[in-house]
Amino acid sequence: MIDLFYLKHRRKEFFRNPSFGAYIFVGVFFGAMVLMMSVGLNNGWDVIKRFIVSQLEIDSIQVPSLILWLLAISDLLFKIFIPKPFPKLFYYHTLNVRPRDLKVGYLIEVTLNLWFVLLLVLEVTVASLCVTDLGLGMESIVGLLLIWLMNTMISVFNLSLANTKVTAAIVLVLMCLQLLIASFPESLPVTSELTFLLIALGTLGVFSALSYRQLSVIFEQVLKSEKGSTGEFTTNLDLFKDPLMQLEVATIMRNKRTRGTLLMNLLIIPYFLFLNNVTSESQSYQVMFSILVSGLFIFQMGTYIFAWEGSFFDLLMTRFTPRQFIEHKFRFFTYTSIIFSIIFSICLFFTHRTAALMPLTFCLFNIGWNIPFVINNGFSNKEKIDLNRSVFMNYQGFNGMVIVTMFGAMIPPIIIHAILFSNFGAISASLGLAGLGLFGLTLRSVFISKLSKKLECKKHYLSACYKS
Amino acid sequence: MTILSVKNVQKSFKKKQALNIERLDIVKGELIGIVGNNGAGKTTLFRAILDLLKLDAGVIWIGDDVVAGSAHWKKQLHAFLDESFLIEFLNPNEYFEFIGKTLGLNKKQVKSQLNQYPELHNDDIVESSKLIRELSTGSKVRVGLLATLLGDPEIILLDEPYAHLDPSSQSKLSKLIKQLNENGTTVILSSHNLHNVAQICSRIVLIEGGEVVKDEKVSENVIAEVNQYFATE
Repeated sequence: MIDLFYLKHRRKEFFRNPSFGAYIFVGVFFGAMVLMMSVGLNNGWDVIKRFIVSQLEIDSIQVPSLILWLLAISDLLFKIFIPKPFPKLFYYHTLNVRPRDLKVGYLIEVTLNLWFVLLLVLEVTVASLCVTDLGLGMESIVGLLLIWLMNTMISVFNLSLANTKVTAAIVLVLMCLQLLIASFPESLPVTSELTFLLIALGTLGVFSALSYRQLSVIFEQVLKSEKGSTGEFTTNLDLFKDPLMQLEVATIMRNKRTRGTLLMNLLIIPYFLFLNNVTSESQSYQVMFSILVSGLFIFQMGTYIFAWEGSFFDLLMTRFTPRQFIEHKFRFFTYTSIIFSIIFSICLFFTHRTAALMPLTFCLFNIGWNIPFVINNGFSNKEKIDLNRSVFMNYQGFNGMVIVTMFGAMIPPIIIHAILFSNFGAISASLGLAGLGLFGLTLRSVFISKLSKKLECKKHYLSACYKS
Repeated sequence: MTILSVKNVQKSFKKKQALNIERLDIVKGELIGIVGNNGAGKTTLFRAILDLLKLDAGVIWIGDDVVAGSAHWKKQLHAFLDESFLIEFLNPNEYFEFIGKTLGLNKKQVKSQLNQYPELHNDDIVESSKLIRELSTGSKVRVGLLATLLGDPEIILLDEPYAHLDPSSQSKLSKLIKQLNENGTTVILSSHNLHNVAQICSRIVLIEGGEVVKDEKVSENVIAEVNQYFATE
């Protein structure tokens, strides 16, 4: 349904804006640029592919998948960051409009936004070239493009994130599905291309509905606001019952430094899977990246533990016991380690099946030993971290202990695995390391008690450090 | 009945005495104003009460619990000292919900409790989708103060609550503190503003160099003496 009232209102607002001429110029210029890029891509596709193959030293058959992966990630990043001013924009543009019209208007605005449409043209061009190279049937190509469009809906939905566990789980599953489809488009539709097309249509429908619902929620929130929203991520904190877990999600989503760290973590997975393909058959490579990926959050976030919470450390210490806080950190790092390990294992299942269980082995080791190790070293991080400063070129909180922690967490399991591998073979090495991790898990309550006592003793010192 | 007791508490920073209080007992239902110049030790005392400071000597009791190392008092005593008691990347409502959850309150309970304090709970806080870091300093203080009121604590600790508030909000806060105290809540507040303290507090404690210089019931004479003290210092 096209809401004419909204469109009329929007048009009036647009032409009353003194900068509307500049907007049109930028739109035309940008549109022409995108169209030229699309034509250029079409004409020079073979040259581009040959260049990628020669630069990255990979098989030409892997190029389409690689590009689809990068495209999916860059698209997602772009859609996460670009629509930030939307709530403010819409509030301004839709004063005195009925709520029902606003909801429809909001959806029209987001989905038909100039930037989205133009970027979609470019993306669809690249995606079409990739899927044509993969030799898929028409249904598969249409299905894949629909899945691509679903990405937009996921991004729209992500503007406010899910407000229930079920919808959050759906987002997570579909995002993984999209990345898997981008990685292995030739595997999925083989059984029945028509089924795949129907699945794509269904998921697109589900996501359009979810996005519409979420946008309605945001919009009502914006309407209630007297001064308008700032366009920050409006993470709904009802996602978890545990207030500390809610806080952890909000910390990650609402602050530049933590969000940047998370995105960098996510980019590491495709980097390992594709860009280092030449060495990926080697055992030491698999070991190193398995431990790194399964412990991404532990190493990246854990090395700054306590300092992340530096700006509200006093509040936490007067509301929670040190034991509650330490138990929560154990829980949080365990969940993230399991999630990253499963994602990496699934990817390995399609690429290097023999190494698919390796991340899970190292996940056990990380949960058993590296979580307490990293938390323990976090006591040495005495500089409060300004969470809302960008992660790039930002070394706040980085010190010698961070390096010690990174190496201290990675080198022992690699050495243990190497010793077991050279004496007993790959399976025994994995089993040995997993067993060691399980042993660490049995000591979990001991670690928690010791770290809680340490926090009880050190909290005064840390609080003073974060104040200064 | 003594609800908070400070005994032989000593604390020094680099050999400079920050706290040296032999005895300070606070009875349930009192409204105490702690006054003193900058660096007198007011905030240090509050941080010691909240177990955010390791004492060189002495002990602080809240009810039957020694503060250091125990947790039971965390539900009895709520405090707002400064911005480190706020979570700046949450909006006010999310922050209240977070604090409510730590106290076992659900959303409805949080809302109904906040609605009891319309003096502080204005539209700019209630309806704001702004994050706390984007609020004005005065609004941040009001958010912090409101959060301390959740869960009906027995003791409330406020460090310089009047600072950054406009005159109208200061007057509303005074009324609110008085009302809370009449309902049985023990309130301990520190302030540079002797006028505000004299207006609402029943007892005044003057701290200087970490020591209690004067601890008396509020009367005109006492206020005059404290005024005289600051004038000659």
